[in-house]
Amino acid sequence: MKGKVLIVLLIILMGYSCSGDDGSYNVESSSQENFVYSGNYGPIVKEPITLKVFFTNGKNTLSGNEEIIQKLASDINLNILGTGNPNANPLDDYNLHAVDGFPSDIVGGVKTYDAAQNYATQGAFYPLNELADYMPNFQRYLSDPKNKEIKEAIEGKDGVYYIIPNINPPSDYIMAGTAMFIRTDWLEKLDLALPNTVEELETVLIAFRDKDPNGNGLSDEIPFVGNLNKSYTSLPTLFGARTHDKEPSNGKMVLKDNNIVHAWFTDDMKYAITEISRWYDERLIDPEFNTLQDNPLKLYFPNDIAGVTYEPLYWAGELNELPNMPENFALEGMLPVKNEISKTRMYNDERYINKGHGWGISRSSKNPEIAAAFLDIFFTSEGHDLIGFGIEGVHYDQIDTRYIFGRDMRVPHYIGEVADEIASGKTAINVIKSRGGRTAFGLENDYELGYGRLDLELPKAYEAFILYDEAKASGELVSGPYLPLLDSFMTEDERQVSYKIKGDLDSFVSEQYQIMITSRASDITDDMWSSYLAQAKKLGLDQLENIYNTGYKRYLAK
Amino acid sequence: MIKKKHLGYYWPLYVMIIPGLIWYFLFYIKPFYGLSIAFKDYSPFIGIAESEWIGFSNFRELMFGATSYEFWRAVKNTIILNILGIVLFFPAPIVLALLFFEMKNERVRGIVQLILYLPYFISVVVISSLIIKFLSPSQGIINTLLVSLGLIDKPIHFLIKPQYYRTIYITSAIWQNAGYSSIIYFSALMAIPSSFYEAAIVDGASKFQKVIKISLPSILPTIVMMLIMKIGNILTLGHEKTLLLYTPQTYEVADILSTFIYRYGINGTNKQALVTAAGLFQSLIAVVLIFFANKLAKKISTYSLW
Repeated sequence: MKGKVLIVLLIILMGYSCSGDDGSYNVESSSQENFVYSGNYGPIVKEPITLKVFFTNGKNTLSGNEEIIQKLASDINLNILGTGNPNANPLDDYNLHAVDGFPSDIVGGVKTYDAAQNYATQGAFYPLNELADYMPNFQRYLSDPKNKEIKEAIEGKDGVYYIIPNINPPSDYIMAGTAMFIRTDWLEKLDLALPNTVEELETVLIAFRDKDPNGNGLSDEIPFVGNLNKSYTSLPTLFGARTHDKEPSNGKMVLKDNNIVHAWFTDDMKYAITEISRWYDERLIDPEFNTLQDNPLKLYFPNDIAGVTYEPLYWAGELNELPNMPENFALEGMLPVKNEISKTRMYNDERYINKGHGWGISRSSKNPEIAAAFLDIFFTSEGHDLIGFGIEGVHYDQIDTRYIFGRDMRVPHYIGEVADEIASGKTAINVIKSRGGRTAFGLENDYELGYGRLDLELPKAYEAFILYDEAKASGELVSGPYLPLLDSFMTEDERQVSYKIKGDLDSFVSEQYQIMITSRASDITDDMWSSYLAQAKKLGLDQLENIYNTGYKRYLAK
Repeated sequence: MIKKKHLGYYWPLYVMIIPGLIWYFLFYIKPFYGLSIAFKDYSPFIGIAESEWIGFSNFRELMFGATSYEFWRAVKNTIILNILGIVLFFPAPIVLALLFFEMKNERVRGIVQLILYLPYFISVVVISSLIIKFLSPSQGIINTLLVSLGLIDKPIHFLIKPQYYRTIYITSAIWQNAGYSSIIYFSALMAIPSSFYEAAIVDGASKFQKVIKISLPSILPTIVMMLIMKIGNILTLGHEKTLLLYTPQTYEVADILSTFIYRYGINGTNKQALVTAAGLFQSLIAVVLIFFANKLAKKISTYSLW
């Protein structure tokens, strides 16, 4: 009797276990009858349903309760439920959601494009080209001849694509993503000129360290500061080493002498890391660059102890406008200094069409057509303006035109609480962002959505943009050469292997870079570099470079 | 007949146990099915059932593949930190409990206990944050003190120097947990009949002799039980504190199995099958160690878990 009971229990247990959600998808669209979307901004369905949207972006993760998202939901007759975790690192949050098989209709986030492409090879997303009928505005956008470059960046050669990225339309203006900023008030105080070469920059940093530019009598100045994933990944370019391609899925693979190599294993990079390590030894860069818990920009600059940084223009420019900054504080944009290797101003952070953010439709979605229509809404002029400018009649009452960045830009006339907050010193971008707008969804991130008032709100950031734009136009800034989207010139197997190896190498490089910076420069010997290369080869470096070069040859043959 | 009577009488107790059983089933038994991904080329988008069986490939990759040095480093560090924990941390709450027990002024004892229990209730995030702030080379109180006392010439960036990591980790663990961990020993001491001590006083035993001859032997079963559990968990350490305190410069001594699993399972390349294999390996070793420790305890002290 006992035995029988045990057997029955075991069968129940196994049956229960095996009937659990094993992550496999089962597409059973039951939404056709309810679907009413024809491409106009308005209801997508007759009877509202709940669309689960996972869009992870740290504290700006979509919850569905944001004022602008609520308005959107009401206009398109959907309930939008945000499933992301605002307290998690976006990539961790994204990977954890993947473990569950992406149990949301729409899945995306910031800096998740590369991971999304990897999951796409495992069948995580619906191919959006197969849902084209439900996305008429997006199709119109892609087929517009002026968007040819965007179309190629999204679709690749075979026309199969899974993700709509946050799109930066190509433009002659506003090309800079990050920029060098320097305390010009300190330069003036110490009677120093703006540095033009890396040698001159080092002289300036030494002066900042030794000559007490903040005048407090203490040796507390930290010449170079910044965020680990911003300033410090840009630093090697000052010494002539490229760090990454601008197409997100190419990652750190760069074109060098007609050959694709991993940027972090070149001789140029060895030289750059050795020099950075020497700067670290000489206390020219922040000793706590990878252990600091606070935002280094908002910790060091207001305390008047930092001199130079290499950060997104918006972040660095904003420091000039913060209250309670040191007297005469002036943090101004400067061009990257000329490096010793190529004697040029190397610039690696030019904005590209695909910003590395975006979203796609999960295979677990039972309503892929509705999800596709939702993605399409952001390519209607109303959806685009709602996310970019806010709610008409509540946040703004009319759209004016301003001539800025060499063209007429539409700029809303803000009213009510939004206008009050802007008047109190906040930027329009941040005010709209706090209400659910201006986020990195898969849409065209047209500059007029954010930069139409830049000269008024953040003049130092604006000046830096112009400085970099002019330097690009005159050829003074050297960027590239860049690669095309090579994913689509690889076989399915090559693509899967390349994502795996790139992931392993990214982790390895990030760790070793920090270790090498903080070790003594004299420790970065040929032997150390050889063992660094040897481990990279074990992780598949040669195989990865072969895959990329093969894909590149196919591209050239085309 | 007896059984029927038994069930008829005790059925409310059986009903009360059902939620616990369901919880146990859902969170401890059902996940066993997921362990099969350690033997599969798993993708969450294909599903556990549909993913291809690949035998021990994940284990081979884990132990002999390109990243095997990280796995073995994590195993080594987990064992070292746990052994240090047993040697340095394990006696601390016992000593504290004995000291509490010997304090005759109950009011003072209560205050001291409260003070020593408090750190346990501070979140590990806050504790780690305090450690980072205290040890900061630019603003940390430790460096300021050491420099001003002339013990060091210039501030030391403790958190990126591997030689300091284990000391920081263990010391902070003792400070945070020793007080609270002493509760179990203290309650065991309180259960000792006072007549034992009265008899010892009559026999002229000193305080130290009372501790050695009565207190410690009386709480030995508790000590042995705790030690067996600790040995069983020798390959287990929570990832939170390590994750907050370690840096690539200290991975060599700080990276443990749970942070290895975090990095490969969630943070980076999302290799769930590989880290499931690591988790399974960890559990199997833990089972073996528990058996070993139990047997040893039985042999040495006649006390054991089973």
